[in-house]
Amino acid sequence: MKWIICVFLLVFSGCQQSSKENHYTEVVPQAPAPTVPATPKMDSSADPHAGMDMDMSAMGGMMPGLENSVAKNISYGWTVPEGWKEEAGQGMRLATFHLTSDEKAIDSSIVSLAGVAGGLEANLKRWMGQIGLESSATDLTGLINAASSIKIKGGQEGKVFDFTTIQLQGKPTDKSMIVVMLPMNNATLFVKVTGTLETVKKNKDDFFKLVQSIEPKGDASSVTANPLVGGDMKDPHAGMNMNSVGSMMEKLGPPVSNISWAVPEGWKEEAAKHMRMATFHLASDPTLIDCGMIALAGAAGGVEPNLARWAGQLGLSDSPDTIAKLMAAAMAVKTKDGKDVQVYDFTAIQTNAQSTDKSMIAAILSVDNLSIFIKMTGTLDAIKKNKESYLKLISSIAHK
Amino acid sequence: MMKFLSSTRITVVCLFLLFILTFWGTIAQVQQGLYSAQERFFNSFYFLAAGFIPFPGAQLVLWVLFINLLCMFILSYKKFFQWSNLGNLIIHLGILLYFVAAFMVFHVSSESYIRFTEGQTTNVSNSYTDWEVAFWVDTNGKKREITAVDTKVFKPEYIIPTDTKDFSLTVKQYYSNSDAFSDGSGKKNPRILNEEGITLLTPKPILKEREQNVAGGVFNIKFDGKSYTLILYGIEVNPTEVMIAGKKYNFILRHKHFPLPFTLKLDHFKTEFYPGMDMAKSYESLVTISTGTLERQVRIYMNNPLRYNDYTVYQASYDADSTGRQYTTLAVVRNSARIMPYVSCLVVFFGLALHFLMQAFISRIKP
Repeated sequence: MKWIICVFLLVFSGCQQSSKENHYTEVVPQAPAPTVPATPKMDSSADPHAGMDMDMSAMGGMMPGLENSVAKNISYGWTVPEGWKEEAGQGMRLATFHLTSDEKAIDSSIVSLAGVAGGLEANLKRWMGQIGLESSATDLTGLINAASSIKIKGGQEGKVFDFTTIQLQGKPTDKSMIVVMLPMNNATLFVKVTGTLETVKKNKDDFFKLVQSIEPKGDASSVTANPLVGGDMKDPHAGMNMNSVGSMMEKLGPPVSNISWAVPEGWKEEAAKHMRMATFHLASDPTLIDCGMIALAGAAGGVEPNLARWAGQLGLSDSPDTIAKLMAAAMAVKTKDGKDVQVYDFTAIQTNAQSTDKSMIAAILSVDNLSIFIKMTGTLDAIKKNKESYLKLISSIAHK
Repeated sequence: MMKFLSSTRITVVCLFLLFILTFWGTIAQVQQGLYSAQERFFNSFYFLAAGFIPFPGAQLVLWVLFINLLCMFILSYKKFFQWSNLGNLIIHLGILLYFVAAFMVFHVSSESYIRFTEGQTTNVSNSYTDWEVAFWVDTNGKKREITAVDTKVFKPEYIIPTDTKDFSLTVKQYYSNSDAFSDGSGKKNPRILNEEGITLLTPKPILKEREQNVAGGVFNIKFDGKSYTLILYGIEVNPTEVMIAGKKYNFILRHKHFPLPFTLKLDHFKTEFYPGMDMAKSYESLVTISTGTLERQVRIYMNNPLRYNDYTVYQASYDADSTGRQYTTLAVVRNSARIMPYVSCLVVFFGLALHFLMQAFISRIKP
C-alpha cells in the first residue's frame, strides 16, 4: 500500500503547473509572395489600427475558425510604386510597404475594417495623437474640410487626410502621416503612410500612385462607392473632385507664409500651432475669447455648409432659415490689401440668448487656392465686447 | 485496505461511471463545445452536475480503476503466476500498460498549428487555446531570442519571472476573454504603453469554443525607476515597443508558441475544387523541412502527414485573406508516447492469443 501512495505522490508532483519562463529562438516572420488574387474562403483581415472599439467582431481572422464578416467576397490588387517593396500582408494588414532603399524611412499599409471603422472623427483624433498633434474641435473640422478626394483604379472614391498640411511648424524629423479612407460597400479600406514629416512629404506622390492603383477583385459587383459616414460629419465636398495627384498636391499645400496681420490692441498672439496660422487671446484674460486663423485648401466646404456646422456647434438650428438670416446679417469688411471679406456675426441672430451662452463671429477669406477662416469664439457677452477688435484684425490682413 | 481496493464491485462501478461520462460528455459537446466538455467531463477529477451535485470526472474514475486493477493484480499474482494463466497475466499487464500509455499521452502530447503562406518559413507552432506573454530585444536579424511565459499562472500581483534585470513585470489584470478600447481622446497617455492606442480592457464571458477567446492583460512594468502600465491584447498584430536600458524591447500577448526541432518553409499550396462548386476536392502543401543536417521537400496532404521524430504534421485546413492570398493550416501533434498504445495493444493481443492457444492445448491433452 505504501508504494502505491508513493507512486501517487510522484505522479502528482510532476503535474504541477510550472510558471518557468521559456526561451527559444524564433524565425522572424518573412514577407509572403506578392498577392495572387484568388477566391477567398475565409477572411483574415481587419486591424485594430483603425477602429476605436477593438471588438472581436471587427477583428476576427487571426486564428483559424474566426471570421471577419467584412469584405468577405472582396479581394484587392494594387501596383507597388517604383522604389517601394511590399512586405508581409501579415495578420490583419492586407499589405505593408517600405522603401527598398531605406526600410525604416516610411511605413505604409493597406487595412480593411468593418463598416465605418469607429467613425471618422474618432480615427482622426487618434491619428493626430499618434503623431503628437492635439486634436481640438477646430483642428478636426479643418482637417475634415480640407480633405480632398482621390479615385482608385476600381472607380471608388476616397478621402485624403494629409497631416503634413497642418504641421505648419513641424520639424522635418517630426512624425507625420497621410491616410486615405476608402469606403468599400460594408467595409472601409485604410491606406496609410507614416514616417517623418520630411519622408512622408517626399514619398507623397508614390503613396498617391499606390492608392490610385488599388482595384477591388473577387466579387467586385458588391463594391460600391459610399459617402464617408462618421460622427456628425457632413460631406462638404460636393463637386470637389481632384482626381489627379498633381491637382491634389496643389490644393493641399497651404502657402500661408505670405499673409500678414496686425494684432489688435489688448490682444496677444500665440505661436502657430498645428493647423492654426495664429491664435489670439485677450492679454488681460486669455480664457475669455479664442480667436484662430486657419488656412484650408480650396473652398473648404463652402460658406453655407460651414455656417450650418457652426450654428450646430452653438446649439442653434442649422436650418436654411438660420443660414439665410446669418447671410443677411453679414458685414462686408475690407482687408488691408483691399479684399472684401464677409463677416458672419452669430450674436446678431442669438436674440433670445443669455450673455453667458456660447457665441461666435467668423469670416472666410479667399486667397489664391486657400480659404482662411478667422473665427472668434467665447460667450455672447465677450464676443460682443471684442467684436470691434476682431474687425480690426480682419482689416489688417494683407496678402503679399 | 488492499483487499477493499481490489474489489470487483469497484471495477464495475468505475466501468459504469465511464459509460455514463462518455455518453454525457459526448452529448454535452453540442451545448458546451468540444473543449469545455472535454475539460469538464474527461480532464477533471470532479465536476458539479446541475450546479451543486458533485460527480466524479473521468480522471478520478480512471485513477481509481487503475489502482483497483493494480491491487487486484498484486493480491492474485500467485494465482496468475501459474503456467496455465500466463496468457491472463500478459493480458492484464497489457491493460495496465494501456493505462500508463493513456496517462503519458494525456500529459506529454500537445496539439498546435502552423498557418503560413507561400514563401514563409517558421520554426514554431501555435497553440489553439493557450496564451503566452513573449518579449524579445529587437536586433533586426532573421531570428530573435524569445522569452515567453505561459499565462495559465497569471493572477493579480503575480510577478512574471524574467532573467533580465532591465525591467520587472507584474500582472495587474488578466482576462481570458476581453474587449479592448481606446479612450477616444486621441491623446497618448505617456504612462500607458500599447502599440495600438488601447487604453482599456474589459472582461468578456469565456466562450465555449475556447479558440475564439481573445486574452488581454494589464501589466505594471518598472524600469529606470519609473512605473508604467503595459496593456497587451491577444490579437494585436504588432508588438508594443519599449526602449529600456538602450535596448528596444518588444512585448506581445499571443497564442502560445511551441518551438519545433525543424524549420518548415511553404513552397507551394495547391487547392482543387469540385467542378462548378466552391467546395475543395483536395488541398496539399509542398513544404521544405530543414533540420540543420538535412533538407528535403515533403508533400503534406490528406492521410499523408509529415513525420519527424515525435512530431506529426497533418494538412488541417486552408483559408485566404482579403487580398486573395492563400494560407495553409497544418496541425502539429507532438506525442512522445505515441508508440505506447500500440505496444500495449500488441501485448494484450499476444496475451489473448497465448491464453486461447494454451486453453485449447490443455483441453486436448486432458483425458
